Amino acid sequence: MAPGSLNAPAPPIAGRQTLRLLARRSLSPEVFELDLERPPGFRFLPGQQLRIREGGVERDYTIASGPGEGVLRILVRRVPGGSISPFLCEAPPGTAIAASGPHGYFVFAPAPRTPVFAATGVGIAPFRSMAASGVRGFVLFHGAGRAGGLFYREFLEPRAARYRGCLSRQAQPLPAGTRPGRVTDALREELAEGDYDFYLCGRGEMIAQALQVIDARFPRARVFTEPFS
Amino acid sequence: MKVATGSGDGGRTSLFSGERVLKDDERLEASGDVDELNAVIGGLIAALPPEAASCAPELRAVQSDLFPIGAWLSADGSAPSAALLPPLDPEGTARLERAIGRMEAALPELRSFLLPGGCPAAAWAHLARTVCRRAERRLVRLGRGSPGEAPAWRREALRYLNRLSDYFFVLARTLNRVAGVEETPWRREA
Repeated sequence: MAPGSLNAPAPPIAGRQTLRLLARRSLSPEVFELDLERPPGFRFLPGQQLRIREGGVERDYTIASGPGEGVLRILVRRVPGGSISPFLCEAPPGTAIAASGPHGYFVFAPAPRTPVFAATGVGIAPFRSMAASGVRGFVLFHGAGRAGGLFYREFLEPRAARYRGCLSRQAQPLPAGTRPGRVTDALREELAEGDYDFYLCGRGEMIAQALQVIDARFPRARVFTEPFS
Repeated sequence: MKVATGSGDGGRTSLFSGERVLKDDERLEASGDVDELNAVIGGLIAALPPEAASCAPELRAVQSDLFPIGAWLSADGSAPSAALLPPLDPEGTARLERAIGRMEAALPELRSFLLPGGCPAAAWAHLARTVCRRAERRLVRLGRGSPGEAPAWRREALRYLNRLSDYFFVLARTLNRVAGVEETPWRREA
């Protein structure tokens, strides 16, 4: 389930870097996937983040690519009037982007318990990286408004023991592999009794609600969280 | 970073290594003591008289030292996330020892117990000393249930907190001397 590389010694914290934007793709009207140049020797663990600085403001973006891939890929949701996301969503390829990293502690902990990944929107990024590093056998609940927001489904579903898209605004009939409602509904209704490690990445409200469900149903579980606003 | 997520409203929280625990878990009590100590040091810095303002950078360095101690207290050393925590640097303890030696050289010899207090900054330093001792006791208690040799981080944290409370005692005396406030010795009969 978990590759040995996840037990590798802690990577060095690199200083500030200037990374070149290699490519940008639109995944939805609001979300873009950016490929950034990966500096030689830059190491990270799946789930860690890049800290991007622009105009005196810093924001953290989880790396969606795996440690074995040649680029640093991030997902950016365009926030109208935001400090950094409009810049990232409009910068032409070749733009130099100030970044540091890797940062963060939301990393995969191999264990005999089944990993359950729960994400909303671009919160899927760390799980794409973990799956790219070789993690298998996980249960994944990904929440989005509509099916177009289930980023990386084609990559993740074959690698998961169970994949479920949770769609809160999708008209019927729902696509296969999805259900109506939110991630927390799936946690409440679809998980059998068992031993789990939960990994939650998404809006703070989702994480707070998910923790209520987990504490009530799985009080001995381990829980790792990565909230964003 | 969002502060109010409401995720702990049920009285539980996650340790750094993922376990869900009640908020009165002994590991949280220990990291809470370290957090309280850090806040008291903030009060001490705010109370420093102008003639002792040079102590502020040293105290801020102590505040920074305490953050990784708090993180280690809530981490299972076997978790991969723990491998990302910075090791506790023995240089922090050595720095405290040098500061203690420097301050002691300028102080009169101690001939009796002292009543904690004096100028406001010295009173804060005594408060920091006592909270530091509580954090140290809590750390010792945490180690009781662990068989075998204590992990390196705990050994270093114990050394650091033990030296830190000595540092605050000597700092309190120094601050009173700088402020021109006479120390009050303990007497059997007040």
